[in-house]
Amino acid sequence: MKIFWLLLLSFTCSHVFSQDFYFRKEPPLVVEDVRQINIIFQAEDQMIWLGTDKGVFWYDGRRYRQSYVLISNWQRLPALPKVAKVRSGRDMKMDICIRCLLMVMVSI
Amino acid sequence: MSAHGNGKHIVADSLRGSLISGLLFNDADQLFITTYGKGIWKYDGDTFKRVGFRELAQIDDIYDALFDLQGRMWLATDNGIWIYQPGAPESLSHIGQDQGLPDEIVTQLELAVNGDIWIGLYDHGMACYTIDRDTVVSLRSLQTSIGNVIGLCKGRPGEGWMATEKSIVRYNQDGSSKEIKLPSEMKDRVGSLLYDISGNLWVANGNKIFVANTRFEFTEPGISGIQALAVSNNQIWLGCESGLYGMDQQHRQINRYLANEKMNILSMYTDDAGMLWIGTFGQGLYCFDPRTKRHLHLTEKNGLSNNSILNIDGHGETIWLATLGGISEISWKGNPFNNDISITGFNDKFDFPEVYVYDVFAGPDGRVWFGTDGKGLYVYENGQFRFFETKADTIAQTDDQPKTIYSIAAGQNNTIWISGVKGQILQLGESGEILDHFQGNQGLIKSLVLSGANEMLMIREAGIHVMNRFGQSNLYAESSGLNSFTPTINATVQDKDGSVWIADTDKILHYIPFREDTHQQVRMHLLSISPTSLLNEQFALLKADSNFINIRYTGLWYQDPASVSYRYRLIGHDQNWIYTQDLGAVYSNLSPGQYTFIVEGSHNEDFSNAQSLTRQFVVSPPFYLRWWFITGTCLLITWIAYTYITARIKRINKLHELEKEKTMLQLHAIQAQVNPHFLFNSFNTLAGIIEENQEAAVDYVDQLSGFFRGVLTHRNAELIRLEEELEMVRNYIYILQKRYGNNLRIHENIAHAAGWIAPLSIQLLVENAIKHNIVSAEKPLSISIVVDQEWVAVSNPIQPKINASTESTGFGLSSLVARYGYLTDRKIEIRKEENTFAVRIPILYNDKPV
Amino acid sequence: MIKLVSIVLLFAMALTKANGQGNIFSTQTGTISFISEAPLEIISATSKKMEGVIDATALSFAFAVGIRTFEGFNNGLQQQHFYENYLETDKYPTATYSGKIIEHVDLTKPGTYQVRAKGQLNIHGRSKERILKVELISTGSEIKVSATFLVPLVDHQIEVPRIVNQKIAQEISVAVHGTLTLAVKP
Repeated sequence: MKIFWLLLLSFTCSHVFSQDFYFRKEPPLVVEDVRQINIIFQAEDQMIWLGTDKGVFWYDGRRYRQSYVLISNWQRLPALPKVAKVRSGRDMKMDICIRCLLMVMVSI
Repeated sequence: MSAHGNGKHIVADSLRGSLISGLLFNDADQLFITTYGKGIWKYDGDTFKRVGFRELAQIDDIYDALFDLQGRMWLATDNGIWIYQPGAPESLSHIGQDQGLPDEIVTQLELAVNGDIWIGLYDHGMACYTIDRDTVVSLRSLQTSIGNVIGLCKGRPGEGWMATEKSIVRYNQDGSSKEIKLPSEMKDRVGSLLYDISGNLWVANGNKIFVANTRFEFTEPGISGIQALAVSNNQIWLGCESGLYGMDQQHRQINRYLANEKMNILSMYTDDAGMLWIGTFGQGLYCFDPRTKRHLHLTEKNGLSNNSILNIDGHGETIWLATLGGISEISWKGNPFNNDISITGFNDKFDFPEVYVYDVFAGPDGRVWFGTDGKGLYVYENGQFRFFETKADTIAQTDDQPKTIYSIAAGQNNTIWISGVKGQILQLGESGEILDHFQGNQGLIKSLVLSGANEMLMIREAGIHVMNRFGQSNLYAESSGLNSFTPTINATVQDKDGSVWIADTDKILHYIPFREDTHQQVRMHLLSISPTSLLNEQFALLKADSNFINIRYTGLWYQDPASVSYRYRLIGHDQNWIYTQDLGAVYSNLSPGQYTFIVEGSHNEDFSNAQSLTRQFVVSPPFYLRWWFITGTCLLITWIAYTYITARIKRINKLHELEKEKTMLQLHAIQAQVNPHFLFNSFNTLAGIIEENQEAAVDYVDQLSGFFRGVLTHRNAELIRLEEELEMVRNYIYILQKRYGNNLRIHENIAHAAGWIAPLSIQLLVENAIKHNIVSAEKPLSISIVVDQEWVAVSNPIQPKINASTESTGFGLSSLVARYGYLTDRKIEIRKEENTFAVRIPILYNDKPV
Repeated sequence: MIKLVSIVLLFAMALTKANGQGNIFSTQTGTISFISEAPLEIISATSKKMEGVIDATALSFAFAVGIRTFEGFNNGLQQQHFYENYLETDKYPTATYSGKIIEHVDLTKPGTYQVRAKGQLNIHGRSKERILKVELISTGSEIKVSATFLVPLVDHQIEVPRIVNQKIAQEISVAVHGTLTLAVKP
């Protein structure tokens, strides 16, 4: 009998809990009046790249810097539209730049 | 990253108007471009060609694409998944609803490490294609209103992350999933998801970026006063002020157990059989079987030293309790519920001081350690209980024995780590020698616990240091959400999967290791450098005016970017390292020499394993300091001096020579003039005339004296007037004519009589003519003297004397030529033609006599 | 309105991939209604003059509705604001949705089909690709269409001044019902 009550009592007080991650907010990308970040991507050398509606940026944890590509007069990489993906080129960032540009130029 | 990209841009008109959904490079280095709107294209380096193999020609909208481990191209379309094999046998296969795909609209594809393909669907959440079974497994789908999957990422092995516009879900390979609660600040649509290489989860929301450190999960069970943790029977057990609770991860439920027992739980321990031993504050010890829910209650009445049990640890079928009244050892055989328990109090058995024991640690080698409050470290080994002395070492620099020890954990190779009240953390070897210590200079460490990945966690308020087996430690603090974390001392437990549970009073932190046993460093990047020749080269030779260096760098440590600091040094200029948080360094006005610049970044101020960026360069000395220049200049100066001096000497010598010559000439002139032969002949002639004609003799003497008067007057002059010379010459000729009579004929042609001439020069010429030629009746000599504006020309036919005259000394003409050489550039011209000998003397106008 | 139908029909014809005739279902009296639920006000209106065409063979569709055919606003001023300011009906008198049906179903066979339509939704001159869930109930000679979906104002650059922000929702809830009958083959 005692065991029964014990068992009963031991099943009371159950409720659901949630498990959360702590999200910290990075400093805002207010450069160039960016409204929408479409893609976040990490290159092979660990740098984080962002494709936004106002161009391509890279972020080192402290500052956002816009990426330029040397075509005649330092053209900026155009905005990456949402559906487009960025895949790493085989090696370096240069490669990515090229791919990004290739990708974007072709889709305009 | 430097902003220098050599952008090669390729424009494809045929692809205009479509969005590119994938850029694929296969092993054969071919590039395939999948588009949303225009299908698949292949780029062969030159042109774009649409791939139209079978159904692919009709597929226009491709959401995503990838290459799997077998080199096949997976295409996510509105009609399921198409798998295309380019190359020698081209093939195409399809995965649709018939093959188990829950939704035909596939929007995302991601390749897992083991070859599985995670599939994101429009309406069904996620599915997974398992490579070993070659089938599609529908993962537990969420409510259909969850929306389109916009991102898929690989997480830890066997884990995938899925993002829709409004939610983020984590899927495990066994099919279970968990939706992540997003912070309230995430109001906009989720744009992108990234799980980076260091275990951070990045979410792009509008124009904001959120980052979570996936090592830590926070649970708020809704209970406060959590003081102990244990793991048993697939549940996490919380020992609280109010009693015992079990947390079931699978079902996310918390249940209360032993509710009618009044328990203020201070400590818990799970033995090898899964029994939960619970130490309380004043209520003694409980043993609880999670499966059968049976429990056992032991108190002082049963022989415990005290009813308040602060810490429990054990080994096999023995446990040791640290109670307020000393240490009790409890052992049993088989099953503790069989009333086969023996309890021993250490205080009676051993000489153990009455002291509060913070931590009991049963080490893997069988030794049991006790960390006390104020009385140091004790060890129980082979039935012996003794004080364990820490031998202070000169290297460790600890002042004295750690007297109060909060927490003990196992180190490698039978060493232990202890954390003391003064904040020092020491690693002790077999005989108490200090092998290593850790400087956690921000507060004392409350607990030490090991994770399954061979890491030691050092837990303190507002931060956790994780030290891997290489001795490197990472600090997780504010950026991981730990700034309000107040851990309860020793309320930690390692779970079966190697993760660690840590209790705060009302929160539980779950630490899941992420590849921490690999070497992790701040990744350094060179942003820009000036002079630019050093940008891509490790070494450069700089000109003298480029004697500066301006470098900008950054270091990546996304777990906690604020903790990154740098040190740099210019070898050849700086004696020591310069520690800074700046992202650049400038050196200017460098003196010529060899330099090496090094910069390193670290996240925990420990640079011993930091990655560094180096550049070497040499500043050339300016040209005026080069050896060759200096040597050359010296030589030049020497040569100039030498030449100058030599020239001067020459000039002086020349002057002397000139003087000498002049004097000699004068001497010769005088000598010539006082030529005794001339006098002799003249007197002979005179004697002849005296006899004949007295008057003529007087004239003759007049002329002779006139001649000699002229000689006397002009003997020192360099130049005399032409008229004067002509007069002297006339005198001379008169004398000669008296001697030679008609045998000598002088023809004068004087057009002009102005200018200057050397004295006795014409006279000399005439004299020479007579000296060298026959003057006789048979052969009379004609001498012509022509004077024009520029020249005095004396010429005579050549009628040489048979016997050379001894009078000729040869001095005359040559010394005259030499004399004129000093006076003017115009030379005396001597012409000896067939029958005529002519000499021309220039008449000088601008030169005045000295 | 005849002009509109012919435009729509032309759309449908163009989408037909098969040679020759397709099975074309059409209507001119479809119903479309929307509700804007804002904190301060609920606005709703309905049009009974939606035109639509479905080509059962090519599985393509085209729907159109003249904005001015909506009725049921709370007051005339509200209606005027809708027409002239927010939706600018003099420039963009029609809203259309045309595209194809993703699932391969045979609409000539009777049955209930829950399908998804993918196409360009054009409102206020701005197009956005939308995939919408649609229920099609076919009797063989008739297809009943029903669908409900949300239209975010921002997708079509419909700008509402801040003053009336509280009165107009940022997402409008739209419901479509129609019965399309098999058109006589030409």
